[in-house]
Amino acid sequence: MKNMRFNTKISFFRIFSGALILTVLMSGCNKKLDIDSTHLVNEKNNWKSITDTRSALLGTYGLLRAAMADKNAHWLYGELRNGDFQATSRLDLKAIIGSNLNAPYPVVQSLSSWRRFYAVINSANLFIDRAHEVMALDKQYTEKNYQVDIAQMHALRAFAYFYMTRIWGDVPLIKSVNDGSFEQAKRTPKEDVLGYAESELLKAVQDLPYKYGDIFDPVFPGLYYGQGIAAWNGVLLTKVSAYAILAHVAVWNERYIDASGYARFVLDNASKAGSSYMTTALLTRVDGFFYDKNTNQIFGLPFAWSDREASLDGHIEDLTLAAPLVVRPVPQMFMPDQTILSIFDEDKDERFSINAANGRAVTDYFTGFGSSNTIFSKVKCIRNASTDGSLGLFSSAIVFTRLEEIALLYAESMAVLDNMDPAIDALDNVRLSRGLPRYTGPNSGVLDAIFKERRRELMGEGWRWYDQVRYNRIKKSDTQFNKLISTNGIFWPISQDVLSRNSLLVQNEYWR
Amino acid sequence: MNKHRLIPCQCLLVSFFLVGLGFPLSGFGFQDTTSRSKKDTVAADSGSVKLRRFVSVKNVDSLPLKQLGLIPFSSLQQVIKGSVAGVYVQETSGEPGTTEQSMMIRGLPMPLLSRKDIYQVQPTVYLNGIPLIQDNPFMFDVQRFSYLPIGPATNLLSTIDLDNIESINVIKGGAAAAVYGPRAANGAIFITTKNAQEGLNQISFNSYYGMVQKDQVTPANAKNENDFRMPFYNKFASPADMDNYPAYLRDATNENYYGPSNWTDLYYKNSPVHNINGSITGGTSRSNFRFFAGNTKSAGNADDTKLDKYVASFFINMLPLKWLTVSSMINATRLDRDRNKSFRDRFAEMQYVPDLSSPISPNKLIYGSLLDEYKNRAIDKNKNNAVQGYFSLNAKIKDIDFISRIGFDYNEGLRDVFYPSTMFDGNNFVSNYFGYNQRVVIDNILRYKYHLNEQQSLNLEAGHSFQADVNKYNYAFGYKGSSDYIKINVVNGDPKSDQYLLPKDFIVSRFTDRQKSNLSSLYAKATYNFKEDLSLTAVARTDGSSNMQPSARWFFSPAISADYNLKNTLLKDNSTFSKLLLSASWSRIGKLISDDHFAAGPQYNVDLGWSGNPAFYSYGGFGTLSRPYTTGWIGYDIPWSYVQETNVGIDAGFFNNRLQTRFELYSKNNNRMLLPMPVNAESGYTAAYQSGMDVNNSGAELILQAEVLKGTKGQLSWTSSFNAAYNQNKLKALPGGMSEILIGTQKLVVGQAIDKFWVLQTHGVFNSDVEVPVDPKTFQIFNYKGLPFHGGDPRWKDLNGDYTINESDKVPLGNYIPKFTGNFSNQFTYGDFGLNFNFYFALGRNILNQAVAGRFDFINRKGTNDIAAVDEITFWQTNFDASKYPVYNPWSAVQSYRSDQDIFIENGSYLKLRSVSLSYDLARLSFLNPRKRAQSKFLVYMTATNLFTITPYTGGDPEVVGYTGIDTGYGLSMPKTYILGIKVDL
Repeated sequence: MKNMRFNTKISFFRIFSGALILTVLMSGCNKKLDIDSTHLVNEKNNWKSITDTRSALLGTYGLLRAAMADKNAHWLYGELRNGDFQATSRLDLKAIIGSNLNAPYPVVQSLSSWRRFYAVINSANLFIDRAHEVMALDKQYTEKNYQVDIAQMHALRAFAYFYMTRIWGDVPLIKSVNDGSFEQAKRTPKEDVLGYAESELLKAVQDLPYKYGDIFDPVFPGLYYGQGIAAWNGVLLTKVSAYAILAHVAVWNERYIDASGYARFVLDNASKAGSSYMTTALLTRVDGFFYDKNTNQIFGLPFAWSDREASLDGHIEDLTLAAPLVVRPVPQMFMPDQTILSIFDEDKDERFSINAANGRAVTDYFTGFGSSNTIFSKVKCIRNASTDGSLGLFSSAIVFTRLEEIALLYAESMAVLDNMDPAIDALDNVRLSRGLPRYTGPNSGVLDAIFKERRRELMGEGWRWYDQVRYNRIKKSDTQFNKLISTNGIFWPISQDVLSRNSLLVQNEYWR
Repeated sequence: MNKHRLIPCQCLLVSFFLVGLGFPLSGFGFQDTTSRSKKDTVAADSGSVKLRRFVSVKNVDSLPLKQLGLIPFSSLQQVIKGSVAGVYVQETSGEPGTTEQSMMIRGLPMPLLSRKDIYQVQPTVYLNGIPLIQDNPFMFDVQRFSYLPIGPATNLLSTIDLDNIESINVIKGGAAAAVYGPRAANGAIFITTKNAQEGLNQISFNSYYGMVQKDQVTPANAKNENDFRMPFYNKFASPADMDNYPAYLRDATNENYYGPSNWTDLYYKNSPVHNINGSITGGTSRSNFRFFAGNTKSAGNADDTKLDKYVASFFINMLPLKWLTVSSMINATRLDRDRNKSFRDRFAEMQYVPDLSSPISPNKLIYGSLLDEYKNRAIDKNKNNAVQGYFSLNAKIKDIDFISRIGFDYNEGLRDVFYPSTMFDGNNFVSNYFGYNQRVVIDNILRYKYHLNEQQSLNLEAGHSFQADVNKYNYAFGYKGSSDYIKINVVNGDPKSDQYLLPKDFIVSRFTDRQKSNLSSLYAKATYNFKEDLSLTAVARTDGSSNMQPSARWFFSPAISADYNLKNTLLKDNSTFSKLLLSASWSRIGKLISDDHFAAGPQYNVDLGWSGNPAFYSYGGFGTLSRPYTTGWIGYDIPWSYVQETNVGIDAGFFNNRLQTRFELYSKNNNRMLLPMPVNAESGYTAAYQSGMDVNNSGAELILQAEVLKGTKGQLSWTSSFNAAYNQNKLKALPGGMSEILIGTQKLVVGQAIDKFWVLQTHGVFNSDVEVPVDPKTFQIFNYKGLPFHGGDPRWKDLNGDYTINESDKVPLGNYIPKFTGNFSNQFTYGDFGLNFNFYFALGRNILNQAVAGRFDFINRKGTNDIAAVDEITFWQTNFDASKYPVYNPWSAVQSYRSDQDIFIENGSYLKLRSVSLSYDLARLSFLNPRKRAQSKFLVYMTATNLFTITPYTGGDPEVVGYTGIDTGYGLSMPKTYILGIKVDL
């Protein structure tokens, strides 16, 4: 047996047939190796149906919400710097309040990166580039629906550019997708970025409806993606939202005539979008203006409880609430009592005033005034508008603007244009709804009154820093601030990480 | 019997593959037990020469199981640690059964940048030829904190019971691994269970009982902490900072914090451990079986951590026809784990960090009441079930051998959690997890042996293997149930309701994920033998993976190796050398990607989350899709990455093999690996995956084994063995020809090692603002990333002289993978007595003592309410010497006590007495061995483990730190265990 040898032919045959079997096995297996992953959609399977456009459209909104929610960025950019809030123990918040924006704290460094906003822009660019493919493949995706979607993406992209240019000044302007090419681009002068945003918005407003899913809407009547108004109120950019953003773009560009025109459009047409002036109670109630998603949020990014989207952070509540409203003993930031008293210095202000009769504070904005732990509680949407604060899961929206804000912006533009009557009228609209009398001061004080009103009315909504910039641009009375404006110190530094990734970028001069 | 007898070489070859593939040797009935082949007796083994060996010397190490069997290990990683030259095991906690253990064979093949990466560098473990499937790290995608994976987080390799194991072989070199393909790219570990044997009717019984000894620590209370912090407050604090002095430290009359610190009685405890198992083997030469069952209980030395394991296995072999063998196995394990109760792990699981400003009181009463909540009202159940099995047919007709086999591995993990509202700010928390991993493997192998003439022979082999994997989990967690008595997440059961299947009570988040992947392999192998003097082997294989893109689905890889026996040819008459064998090999193997994202190329997924909530998926109530901006762009044309290894070795025996040695040199290149490369932020992406990272690991391994005293029966004999491995790694290339990049805080520089700590160098302190220098050219003040230094700040070394301290002023200091690892063990026998002791060492390695950095950085840590700043109950012990560190201003915005500076890098080398065992075999006593069989034994023994550690490291146990050498202080130390046991074979 040991010396047994096969005939070579047989051996060859066997090897050959063995190889043949294996080849058959292998070709069968090649098919087995094509597996479509369940946790992603590949290029082949996307942009096929109306569901794909809905997912991509809402995904772009969601990316913007993530950018503004990450580390409570919306407030850290807008509310803190040189603002009225003080940090308790977070040194990174202290650094931002003290304008030390290059402090090496992880949060401050992370906020100096604009990557998340460019994700929004890339996503919008991609939608604009690809959505038309769906029209050809899915009959449900109508031309009109496509137009509305594209208009939203143009407007959202413009908003992202506007938001960024308020923070960093000059930013690279990227208008196309460039999938996978990662070409580097220089920073575009902020005026050009704002100009681009304005032109994009002006294109978009033509196609945007007042309300989505409304059968009576003059622009786009009928269901939107199969859903009625309840699903879309306060969720998507409307015509009114786009005009509100336009007004802000123009004001930031110091073009007050245009700004007043855009703002006027918002004031005149807000009711078509379901927005109106609110009582102080509605503004501050747990289930009021900030809660969930609603039409009063002219442009907001909701964390709606009804959609199971409440979250721990991405809310002003995360920064300002504490005991007795939630479990946390001290808030991350608070407003000192002295500051409160100096800001709210008028009687009968429903937001905050001291009752002359008993010397007690009457307020919808604060809790525990006079104690050592005064809590800013204007916004307090805990879960399903609950008052049980044991679980800090919040459902307030990140609101960019509302009617009172636009009214004050209109007043500001008019005041700058020396058109005092409409300015005072708009200002009074806000004052009256807060329990205050009409403005009776001199015309020279109108602008100050408007900005003072903004400081009170928009407290905790991410405006304080930008308001200071606009105020000082108009007034030019504060030499230090003038210097800050002229040296571009009003902008944030660009993070080292971002700079190192693109050799064409240069740091903002103030922070070099 | 004689009829089936094969020539030794052939027998060896067959057995090599059979064992390699998990085939029971004995079932064939033609096993040659008398002849000794050269390869059977070589001392390549790091342990005992008496060990039965099946495999060739080429880069394969066997473990000395006879000695290791006396030590109470709780996982395969612990068994491997120190037993094999060139394998480094990192445990991150002494908690028994935790999943956080890694094995690395011949160094670190890639930088560990993300939590998932450690999964990518693990070797594959084969149980009787079945490649065991492990957890897929995809669950980290939905986790806000990645300390532990969701689910039971139990080590699936805890299922191994050493008493059920015949041999463990570690495959290191590429040539040895080539036949196993991409699964063995990081090396492989072959476990062969004891099997049914012809003519051996045996009953075995093994058991031990023992104790884990608690740690001795010095408890502290608020006074110690106050004494530690006050100097900083006195020196640097502003009045406002003084006002913010933590409330729990402010009041020295507060009994809870300033009172007795006696928590240690409840935290550190002596705990019992035990093991009991038995097996029956029986049958005839045509059919035989073996049954094994056992239970093991392991324990940690603190926090009441335990692992309970139940194992049952059944093996059967049959020869229905003389040329056909049918064999089958089924092996089932159940793991039940009591996890630690650390706040960090609990909050991480809850994805919710409550206010952390005050730590828990060090008082026994308060800590005890928390433990009572755990015991009486909380639920924390962790269970794993695993079952492996195979069915195989082996037809052997003349010189042709055909093997066909189907094997499977299925394991599932279950975790149920409930924390009552009393433990969490008045909320309760519930979570349920069910996940499984499933693998089916089909193998077909054809072998043919061709004799050219009396001296030369050619062995040919071809095989195909197909593997199908599924990983899946369902996970839901919920907050705020209405009552602490409803401990499960109840859903609406009415199919007509619009709330159908929605949770009734809790606020629930649900997650589910599933991944399928297949691997198909085809290989051919030819071995040419010239007598016993020369052997040449060539392997060619092609592998196709579903996780690769269609354009690059298949990867062809070759391997060649040669062995040359110098003793037989040139040194025949030399009396010094009793053995001299040279071997060399070169191989290339494809590397598998465990993630199925790459196969799709450019893709869309859900990327709506942010740092505080990474798993957010909907906007306006609808699911969304976007590009993977956070994880990174994936393009087309991603090629296979591969391992290319060159290996030379020499085996020598001296003085009739009383002294045996093996020495090996290797150079292993992991080439074309994927790396998330930073891209311009204006693209929206954090990174783009690019292939082209090359990492080289090179090293040397030495095994020495001596029979120092060769006593016959009744005399003292002493065997000593020593193994040591040196390893170094080097980054050879980065994608796109880059020379260095910074990913997060990890810097990668071509030409440097990939396991370096990049840190700032400290040169004293600025005592006052005037000491801070100013750049004479630009009048810029010396600054940290633009922020000027002040008095009280550290004086970091400005390497490039630009008056700015930033990432470019960091130097590579120390490395977290040890340069030298090894083991020194000695075995004495005198009569029926045996004594073993076993040292383990890891030298030339550093640890970043983040635990201490955190203690000093109390201002920042408390300010941010970061989960990494949770003070556990172990906060209340004195375990560092504050006077050894410089005094800086902890309020400074430069974050003076940041951990990326040289003062926190320490030498983490250590030497451990890992085990001492004393045994006595009673088998000679006739009433204990009634059948007078040679293989019978009746061993009684005592073992103690981890008796002492010698180390310059000032922190905790240097053996338990994170994978990247960071000691967070959260790991439990490796426990000292004392056991008393018996091993009986009748």
